[in-house]
Amino acid sequence: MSAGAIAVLIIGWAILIGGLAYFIWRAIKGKNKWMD
Amino acid sequence: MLEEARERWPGRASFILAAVGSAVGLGNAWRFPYVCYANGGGAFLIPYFIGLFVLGIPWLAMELGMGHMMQKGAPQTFASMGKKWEWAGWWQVLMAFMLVIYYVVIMSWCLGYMVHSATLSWGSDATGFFHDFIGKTGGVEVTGALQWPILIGLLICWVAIFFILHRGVRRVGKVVWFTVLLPWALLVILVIRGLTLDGALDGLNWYLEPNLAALLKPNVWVAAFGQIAFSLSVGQGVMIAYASYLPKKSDVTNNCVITSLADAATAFFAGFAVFSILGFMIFQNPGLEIGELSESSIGLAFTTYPTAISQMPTGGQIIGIIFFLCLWTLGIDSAFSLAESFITAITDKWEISKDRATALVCSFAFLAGAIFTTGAGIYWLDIVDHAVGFYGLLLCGLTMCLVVGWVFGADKLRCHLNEASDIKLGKWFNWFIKVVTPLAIMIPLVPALINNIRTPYNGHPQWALLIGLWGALVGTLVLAFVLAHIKEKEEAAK
Repeated sequence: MSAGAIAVLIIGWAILIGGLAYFIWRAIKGKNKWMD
Repeated sequence: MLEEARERWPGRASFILAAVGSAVGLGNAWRFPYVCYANGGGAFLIPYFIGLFVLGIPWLAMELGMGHMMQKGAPQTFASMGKKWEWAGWWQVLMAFMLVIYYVVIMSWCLGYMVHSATLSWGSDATGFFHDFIGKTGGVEVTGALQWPILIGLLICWVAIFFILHRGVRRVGKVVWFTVLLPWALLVILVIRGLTLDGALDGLNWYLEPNLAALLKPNVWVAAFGQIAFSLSVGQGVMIAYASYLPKKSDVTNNCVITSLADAATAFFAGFAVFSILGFMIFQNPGLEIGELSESSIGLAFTTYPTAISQMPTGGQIIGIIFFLCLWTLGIDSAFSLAESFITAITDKWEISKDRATALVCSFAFLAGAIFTTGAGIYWLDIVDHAVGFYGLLLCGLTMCLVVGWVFGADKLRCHLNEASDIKLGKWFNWFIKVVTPLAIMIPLVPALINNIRTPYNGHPQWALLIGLWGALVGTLVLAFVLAHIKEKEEAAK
């Protein structure tokens, strides 16, 4: 794989998984933990 | 009182899974990877992420927020903003209903191919086999025969959808733990198998190699914004209906962001399954070019992928079954969410039980779907998909942005979202709903409209386009006005 493709692989996953992990973490720790 | 009367999701995680399941569908697996490759490879992620933040997330937040605020399906949500707007909600749910009619036919194909994978029935001619399987005729003017295996598969799919939906969202909230998590597990298996094949890394290189010059081409941005719009299950009343079953104190904004990112992550991940296999095919057939192989949607799933499976050294049958089961499970959540959009609209307006409304909707959709199981079905599917899944969705989204932004007031929606949400939206959100998101919706809409007026869509005859494309749009609009003017049971009794 080229350096460009590897960079996209890393940046793409960093944004998606990093973003998901952050917002799920906020959902878990937030005051509105579950809906009720 | 409303809070107690309306049924509720069993929990926040169930709601998020249902929303993600609705957003993640066949398009994530068979459309995104191709669109990404054909529009600059890795560089495509730049317009895609921009589209996600200026179009996808605000649009999804608007639908979830309005459904949550009004606690009603799409037509009654619009009616709450002003009785004269109810038609716009009916238009959305009619689009969803038309979409699910042919969407489930494709799921039936997946069921059929799951069976055929056991013996790799397509041999070395996957294209010919697919044409025989669907009984493809020479054109839309030749209807051809009903394909009974597809019709039986269609019946199985609709029975499954009925049993998932007829007890309401509490059951849906349990089912999604299986139907959303299973395709992800299957995708992991497909990616692992793909990456262990010769040539897989070359395939990933085609998928991810960034061509930054492509960013200067307008069509790349059109493709990115289009992909976002078609992927999030917006514009069809689905997210409005789903959010209407959330309790008042629900964090809608964070749920919206999680849903959007999970949808994008699934699409990105599916590209690894697809392009590792394409890399393997090039390795096996050195004369082939990636451009000849990479196709989107039906071509990828029912001809390219089966051909690759046949050429695998071992385990082709199992990979075939896993691949089509993955597609089926990706599709089922989207399918029942589309049906639920229409069912919620009916049960909200008229006092009809969920059981009965579900039975009516599923039966009618099954019967209507029979048209797409004929030899000309694939042509009608292509035409109606362009009407409903492209124009309908974008026009419904545009209408909603304008009504919410300029008539109802985007600030009211923003304040509502901020009430119970952990993430607070700034005033920028108002301008997104009023101006930025509608303009972003126009990006894929306007060029396609100009193109389709100049030249017939995909070379189909004008009479077929008049019926299936323009007729479907105008017909659903007229029907939406009619449904909006039929009195509710309480009104009629007065």
